[in-house]
Amino acid sequence: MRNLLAAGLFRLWRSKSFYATLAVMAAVGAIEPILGYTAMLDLAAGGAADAFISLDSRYLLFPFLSGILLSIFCALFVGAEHSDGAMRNKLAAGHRRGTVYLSNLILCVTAGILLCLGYIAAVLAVGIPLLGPLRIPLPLILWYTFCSVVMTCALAAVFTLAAMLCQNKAVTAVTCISLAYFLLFLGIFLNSRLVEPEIQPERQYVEDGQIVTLPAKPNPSYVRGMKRAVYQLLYDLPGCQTVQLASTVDTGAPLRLPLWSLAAAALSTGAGILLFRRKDLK
Amino acid sequence: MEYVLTTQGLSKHYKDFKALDDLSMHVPKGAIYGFVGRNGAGKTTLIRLICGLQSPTAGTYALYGVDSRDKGLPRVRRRMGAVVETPSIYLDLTARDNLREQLRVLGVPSDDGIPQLLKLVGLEDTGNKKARNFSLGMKQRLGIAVALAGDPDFLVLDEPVNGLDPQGIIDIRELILKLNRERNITVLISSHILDELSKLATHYGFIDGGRMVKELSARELEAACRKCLRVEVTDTRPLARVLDGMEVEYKILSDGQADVYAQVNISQLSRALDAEGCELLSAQERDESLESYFVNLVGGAGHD
Repeated sequence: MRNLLAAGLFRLWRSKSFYATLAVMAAVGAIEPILGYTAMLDLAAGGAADAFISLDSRYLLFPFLSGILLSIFCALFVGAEHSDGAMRNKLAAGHRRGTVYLSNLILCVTAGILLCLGYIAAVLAVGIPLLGPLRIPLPLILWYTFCSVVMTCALAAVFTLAAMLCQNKAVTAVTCISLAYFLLFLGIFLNSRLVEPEIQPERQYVEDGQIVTLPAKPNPSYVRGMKRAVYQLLYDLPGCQTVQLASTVDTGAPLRLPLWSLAAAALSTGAGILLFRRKDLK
Repeated sequence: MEYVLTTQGLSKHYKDFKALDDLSMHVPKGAIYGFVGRNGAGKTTLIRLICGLQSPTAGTYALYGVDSRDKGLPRVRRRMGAVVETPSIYLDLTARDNLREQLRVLGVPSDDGIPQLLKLVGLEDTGNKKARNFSLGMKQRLGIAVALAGDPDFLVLDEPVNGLDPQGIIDIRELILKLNRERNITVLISSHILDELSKLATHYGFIDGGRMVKELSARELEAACRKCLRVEVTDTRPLARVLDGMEVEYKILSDGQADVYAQVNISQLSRALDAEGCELLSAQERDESLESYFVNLVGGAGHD
């Protein structure tokens, strides 16, 4: 394992796909506060009394981006093992398949964490001078960061599974990127359905000079029963939980979110190793 | 004889297709073993099995006497280097970095051997050029260098000269001969380019339809393919007396057929046989190449 990790890190430091994805993360992290600052200046110029944009909303963006960029990185980095044939060198050198799988997983997780750190470093370095420090209390920010990084690691495990089992790099790339987008948009969709109130509140409006009162009534868009349970389950999955993490930052994301991420990582890694051991490689 | 690789009843099935069917082979230590077969005969499948890329459906193989079911096999595999189908190299790394990467995979602490390896395969001047920009022959040589990184004593090469230009073929041939003679590396080469193989191999294994048709040494093959005059006579006993009198090497094949391993004067032979009361019915010069030997062995009907 140590040898494979040393070899993998050697390649990671020379990987163009790693530096490219890291550069995108850092660039977005630097641009976001600049955009916030220019918007704040525009508001102030327009005469807005409380023209202030917090750094918080810019900081919270990184898990939205890290999953997508990590899908590209994992597909290219692990996919090259198959397409360039280097996987054969590792197996022919006597390394066990489980070890080869785990070493690639650790490298993808490492890259995922570094991508997150790349964004965080850039957004804080550029954002604090322009927009001031984060307003959210430090423990809540640290908890949000921890949950988001754990979710990114879980996504790394899922993308590693896809990349290790599919020997076609192009197919792997399409699968991983599509999956990352699918999970993100599914999370947005589920959020929009799950935030619907159960009861539509009483409403009043004026008609012909008279105040008409509509009584409170059940909301037809509210998701109930088993369907709600399934939606909630999916909403907690890594990738889908991105929106939930951002929306609960003020109160602290529930503990079940990082636990779900760890469970998903363990499950996908277990299944991946099992299937990879049985796989006929070319 | 000590064997580096042996297989017993090795089979690999993909659903209903038998890629390998009860294959038994023996690769002697120090040999250059030419593994000959047409496309789809099962050569690459066997190599994938012994490299641990796939598992056999049935049967076993042994590397240096260690059975494929033995848990110690991965350790023994470290004594083996392989180039399966295409060279296993990272295209976005330089030749030097590919070797450094492989040395880390193998857990070799020092990079000191890299210049020697690059010199051995003639890639010492590639500098910062990425493997992506190498010619096919250079990639093939780098693939061999990567396979040699762990200082193996068994090298497996799958179609190493496929697609190479004439100079590339010569370079690879000389490299293989050098590795075998100077480093005493046992080499297993799969190929269907028989002419090229005949310039290298000390042993042959002929595979067809996933089965080993014949295994023999180059010396045995040479004897089987030796240039001769096949004569047909009414009786081989007087022929034997005449040929003994001429002090000529020969081999009696049947009551009416013999192979004569010399240039003989047909008129003189005919007269001598006539004097012995024997009739010369036909005489045909035979010069079997490895190619014709292979075609005779596996049958030409199914050839691509």
